[in-house]
Amino acid sequence: MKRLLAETSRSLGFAVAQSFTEDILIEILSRLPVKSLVRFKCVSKRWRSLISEPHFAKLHLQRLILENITPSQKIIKSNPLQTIDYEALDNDEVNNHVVVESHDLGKDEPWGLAGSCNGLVSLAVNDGFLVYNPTTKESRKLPGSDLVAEHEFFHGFGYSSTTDDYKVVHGAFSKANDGSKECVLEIFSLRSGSWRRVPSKDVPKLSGPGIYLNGSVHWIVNHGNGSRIEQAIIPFGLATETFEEAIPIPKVEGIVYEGLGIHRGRLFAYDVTWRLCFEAWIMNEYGKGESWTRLFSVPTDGLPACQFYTIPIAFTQSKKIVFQIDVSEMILFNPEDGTYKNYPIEEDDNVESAIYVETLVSPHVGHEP
Amino acid sequence: MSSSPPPSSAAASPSCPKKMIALRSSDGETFEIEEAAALQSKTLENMIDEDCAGTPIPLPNVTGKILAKVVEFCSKHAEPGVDDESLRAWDAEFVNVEQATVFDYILAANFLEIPTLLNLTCNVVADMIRGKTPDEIRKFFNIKSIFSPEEEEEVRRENHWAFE
Repeated sequence: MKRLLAETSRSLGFAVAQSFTEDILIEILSRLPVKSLVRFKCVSKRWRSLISEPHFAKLHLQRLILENITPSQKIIKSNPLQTIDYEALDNDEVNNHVVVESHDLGKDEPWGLAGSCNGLVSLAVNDGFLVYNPTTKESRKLPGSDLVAEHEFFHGFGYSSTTDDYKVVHGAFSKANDGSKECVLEIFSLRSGSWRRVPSKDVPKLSGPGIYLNGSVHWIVNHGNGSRIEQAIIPFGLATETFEEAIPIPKVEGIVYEGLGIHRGRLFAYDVTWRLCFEAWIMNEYGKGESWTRLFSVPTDGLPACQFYTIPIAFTQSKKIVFQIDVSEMILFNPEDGTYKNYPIEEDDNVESAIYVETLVSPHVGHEP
Repeated sequence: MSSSPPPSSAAASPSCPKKMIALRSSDGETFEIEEAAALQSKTLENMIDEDCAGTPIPLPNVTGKILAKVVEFCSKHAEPGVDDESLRAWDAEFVNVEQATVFDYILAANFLEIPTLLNLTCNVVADMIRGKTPDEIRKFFNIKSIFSPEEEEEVRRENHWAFE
C-alpha cells in the first residue's frame, strides 16, 4: 500500500510539473548554470529554442549579476588559451582535468586579452580581434580594420546599455610630424558589425587592456615619474564614446599602482611589488574617492619571487587570492598562513589573464550568423 | 477600482491594520489571513483593494492543503523582527517536503504572484534538475521529445562538451 501511495504521489508530481507554464519554466531554467542549460537543449525543440533565445540569455545574465553568484566565475588566460576553474584548486581533491581546460581556436590563437564583460571576452589575434564566449564556445572573428598599432596601443571591451550593444575599443599612438604623440581611436560595435573612427584629441597616455565596469572601460594613467608620480583612473564611456572625468586613486605612502582589477562588482587597484608589502585598494562606491579601502596587504617575501609584477586576479569563497606571477605562473595564495599552491597551467612566458562569468550571451548579438 | 492610493511595494501598509482577509480554496475550505500577510501576494493585493467588505476571496486554482501552507508562509514573512538567518532556516524547513508538494507551491506562488515563495521554490527545483541528463529531464517533466534521432545526435555533437 505504501509503495503504491509513493508511486502515485511521484506520478502526481510529474503531472503537476507538466502543467508548468512557460513563465514558470523560465523562472526555473534561468537559475541553472550554463553547462546544464546547454545540455538541456537536447530535451525538446521547445526547450532548445527557449534556451537559445537572446532574451533568455539576458534574463539569465541579469539573475547572475543580481544574485552575485561568484561560483560561476572563472579565469581565462592566453598563451596558450586556457580557462581555469580557480575555485576547484581550493578543494582537497585536485583533479587537473577539472581545474584547467584548453581552448583551441586554430589559426586565431590570441596573443593577448583585450577585455572581458558579461561572459564575453575580446581576444587580440594576429589580424585583429575575436569575441569569444568561453562557456558556450561561440566565437566571432571581427573584420579587420586599417588601424595598425605599431608599438603603443590600448584596447578594451564592454557593454553599453543605452544601445544594448557590446563594443571593442582600440587605440594606437604614433609620432606626428612635429614630434607630438597622435592617437587614432576606433570602435567596433557588435550590433553594427563595423569599425568606426572616433574623435581622439588629447587622449591620455593609456597602455594595454582596459578593465570594464559600469558601462566604461578603465585604465590607470601616470603623470610625472619617480617620487612625484601622479596617478589616476581614466574611464572611457562606451555610450558617449569619450574619455570621462578621471577617478582619483588614494595616495598611499610608498604605493605606486601597477594595474586594475574587478572584485565583486567593484574596481580595485594593485601595487607594484618592490616593497615589503604588496597591497591592493578597492573602490567600494563607484566614482566616490572617499570610498576606497585597503583590500589586502601581503608580505612580498611570502610570494614566489617575481621579476616584473604580481597581479591579483580573483578571490575564492574562502578568501584566498589567485595571483599571476610575471607572465608565467599562477598561484592560489592563502593569506592566513602564507602558503600557496600552483595552478597546472601551460605557459609560453607571455600569459595574460582575466576573469569572466559563465553566461549564454552570444558574440553574434545583432548579427545572427 | 478603489479610490484609495495603492499600497507601496516596499512596506505595504494595510488600510485596516490587523484586518483578517478570508480566502476560499478550490475544495471549499476557508482560511483567514492577516491583511499584512496577504499583501505578500500581488494577486491578493489587487483583490483586497477592490473589496473591503469581507466576503471570502475564491481561489479556484489552489487546494485547501496547499493554501494552508501558503498562508503559513506569508504570515511568517510578514512577521516583524525576524532576522535573516532564522528566516532562511525557516524557509529551508518549509520546502523540505515531497517533490510534488514543491511543485504545488510553485503553481500557487505563480498564480498568487508571491515573489519570495516563487524564488524559494524555483531554486529548489533548479537544484533538483541541474545535474540531470536530457532523458531524466523528459521523465521529470513528462515531455515528449520530437527530435528525430538524427536531430538529437546533431544537438549533442554541437554541444558535446556539456555532456562530459
